Amino acid sequence: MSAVLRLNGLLAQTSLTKTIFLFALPALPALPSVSQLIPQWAAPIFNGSSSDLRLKELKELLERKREPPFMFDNGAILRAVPKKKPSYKRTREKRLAPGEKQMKPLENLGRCAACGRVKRSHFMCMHCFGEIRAFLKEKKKQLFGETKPYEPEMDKTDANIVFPKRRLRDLELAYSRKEYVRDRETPLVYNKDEVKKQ
Amino acid sequence: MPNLKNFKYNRARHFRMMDRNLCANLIRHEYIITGRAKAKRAQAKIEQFLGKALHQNKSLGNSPLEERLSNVKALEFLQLPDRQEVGSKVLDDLSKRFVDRAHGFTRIIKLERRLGDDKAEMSVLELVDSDFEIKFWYTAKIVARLELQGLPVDELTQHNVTKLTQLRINGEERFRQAVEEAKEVFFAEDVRKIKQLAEAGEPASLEQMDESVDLAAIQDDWPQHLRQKTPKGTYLKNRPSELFLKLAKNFGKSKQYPTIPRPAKVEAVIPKSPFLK
Repeated sequence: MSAVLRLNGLLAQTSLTKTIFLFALPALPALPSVSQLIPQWAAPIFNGSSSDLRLKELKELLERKREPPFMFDNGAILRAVPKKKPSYKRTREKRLAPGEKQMKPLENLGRCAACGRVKRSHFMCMHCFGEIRAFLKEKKKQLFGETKPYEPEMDKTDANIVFPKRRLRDLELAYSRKEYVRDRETPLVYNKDEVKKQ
Repeated sequence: MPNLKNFKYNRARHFRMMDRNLCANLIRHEYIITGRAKAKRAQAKIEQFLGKALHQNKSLGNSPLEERLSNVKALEFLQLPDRQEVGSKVLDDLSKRFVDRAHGFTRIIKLERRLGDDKAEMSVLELVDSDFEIKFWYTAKIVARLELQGLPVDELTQHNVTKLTQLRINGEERFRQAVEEAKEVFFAEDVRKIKQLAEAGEPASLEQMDESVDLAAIQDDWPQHLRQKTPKGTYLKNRPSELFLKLAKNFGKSKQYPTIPRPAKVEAVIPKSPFLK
């Protein structure tokens, strides 16, 4: 079935290069003509006298040098799919059997002595850490002045050659804007009744 | 956590350079934030380096800095471009800071996992007894909070305070300053409210502290980078539980071996010998 389908796609392309074939073929009389290669049912398509509206549309699209609309299923092209539907039991087993993949409850939660919010025991409270870090950064700035990122001293033309400017990709632009960076959520205020281990 | 102790032979140089770079940057910046495995691996090397360098520096006495820089052999651990800058900080600054220490120059603090795809375990690697020590400021914040709440400092916090201040130069004085600064910085909103209430002639109670603050009104004319999402402080109502305060007295004692303090020594009185006249 797939061979036929591929031929179908090929034919649509050959219709564009028809003129080239016409010039080239008479020079090689030993070769079979193109019409012989085409199955009978596809001959009207090749000749351009097809009655199928969808194929006409496809031809128009190809002539305008747009990408062929092979993404949608027009009854001719199919994609790889699983052979059978996985049963309810199998799906559930796959998800629930391995204990290590499941979420475990946090039992080591405690109260941060410095801010009164929830904190993992033996770990730094990230809320306090964020505050202290920002504070120390500001303090360092006041003491030692602002530190500039390293920039090599270079001639302008040299810099253009060594670091050529180029258009950034979408991902790189997002990276430079730091849009992807997630903020840590501020933890809840500690409440004894809401924690598992009391 | 990846194991950074067993590695292929062809990566040995990379690992060695990693230790040296982390060492140089730790001494430069007083604290660094890295992955847990790297921090643990580098900590051992840095302790070794600092111990040797300070010991050799002590044996050279009061000779000028340039002479010591060339004579202290342990500085060869640092990479050549860092040797002058970082080495002089070690011999000049750190040697004065760690007078009574032969080891234990660094500390690792566990952080939560990174918010990236890798979810790596993170940690802070810091030099002790510095002005930019995170544990020092964290403890100062705890003490500031307890003082604002009018609670006594519990045993665990007191233990941390003594540990942080005992070998620091002017330790207790510096800690006191840090507590006062922490009150102004980390509990700005509460201190402001307490002052307001004091001006009005009302006694400040913790219940009043928890009223929701209209941040938008306060921060209206503030620059963008200083604006906060959550008000600083204002959770003073959340105190430690009574059970915690009760147990806090015994935090210094061992749970496994609860010891009873030894009774005071009674001086033995030797009876007079009957053979003596």
